[in-house]
Amino acid sequence: MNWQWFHRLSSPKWFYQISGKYLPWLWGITILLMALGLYQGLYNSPVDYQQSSTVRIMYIHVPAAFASMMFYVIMAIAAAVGYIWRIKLAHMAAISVAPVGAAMTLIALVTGSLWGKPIWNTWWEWDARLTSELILFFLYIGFISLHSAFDDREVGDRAAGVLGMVGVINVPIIHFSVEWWHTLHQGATISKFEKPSMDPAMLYALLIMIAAVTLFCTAMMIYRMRSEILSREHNKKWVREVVGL
Amino acid sequence: MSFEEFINMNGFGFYIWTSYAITAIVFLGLFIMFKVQRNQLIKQLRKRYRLEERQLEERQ
Repeated sequence: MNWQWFHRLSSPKWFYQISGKYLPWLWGITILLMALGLYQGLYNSPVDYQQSSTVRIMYIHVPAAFASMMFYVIMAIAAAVGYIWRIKLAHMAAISVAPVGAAMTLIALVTGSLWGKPIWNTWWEWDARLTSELILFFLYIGFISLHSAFDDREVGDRAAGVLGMVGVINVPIIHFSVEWWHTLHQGATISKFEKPSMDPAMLYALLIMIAAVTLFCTAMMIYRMRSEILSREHNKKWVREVVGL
Repeated sequence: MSFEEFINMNGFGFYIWTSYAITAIVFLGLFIMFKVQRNQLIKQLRKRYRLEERQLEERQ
């Protein structure tokens, strides 16, 4: 097998150049999708027959919750790749995505709380879904804190990486918590593809918002990685040229 | 749908608009944080490179 593409992909210089070229396009698509999704979700979709207008919170709550789990998995995979093959760029990806994932977890928790108050008549409940999502938030915070606790960045990479990899066990727990335990939280919204249980206009709004939030997180992660690259490769000649005097 | 109805959201306006407002604040806050970090980093690096260059000249 030809591994040349892998080495090229893991070169910080190559990544910096290629990401610089495509990042503006990523931002553009993100903003367009976000605008379309917000229009669709807040205005051009029906209200729920049980939950009335509060269903509109779903269009930000579900994408944020989805992103909080997906980007945790991405962070754990990046940490593992960095740990096993000692690829610097993978560690940079892991530490760059952590604050983005933490922000999505925070949004999922807060919007969930604001949805829970009118529908469940409580801001918070210590049930499986909510508690495991809160643990996810602490895992992100723990990853960031542990990483910054070491003067040697490479030691921090590896220490935080272990925490990140172990913590990935929490992701399936969050996902299946609504099936495993008795919980206030409703079941999966869109994984029932064979029998769609929601209005097409709602599904459309939700899918657009999931795409928009995922792209936003990806763009933010890449943006942060570009700074991380400059910071860690500051002794390289090409960085000197990029930064200028 | 009138503008008032849109804002009112069948009486759930507070919960819905607060959700979206907090989301917007977090999104923007995150971006601004990354932007400030980047600007500071570039400023620091330029300072460092200038200092190194000066030291190099003095040695010659």
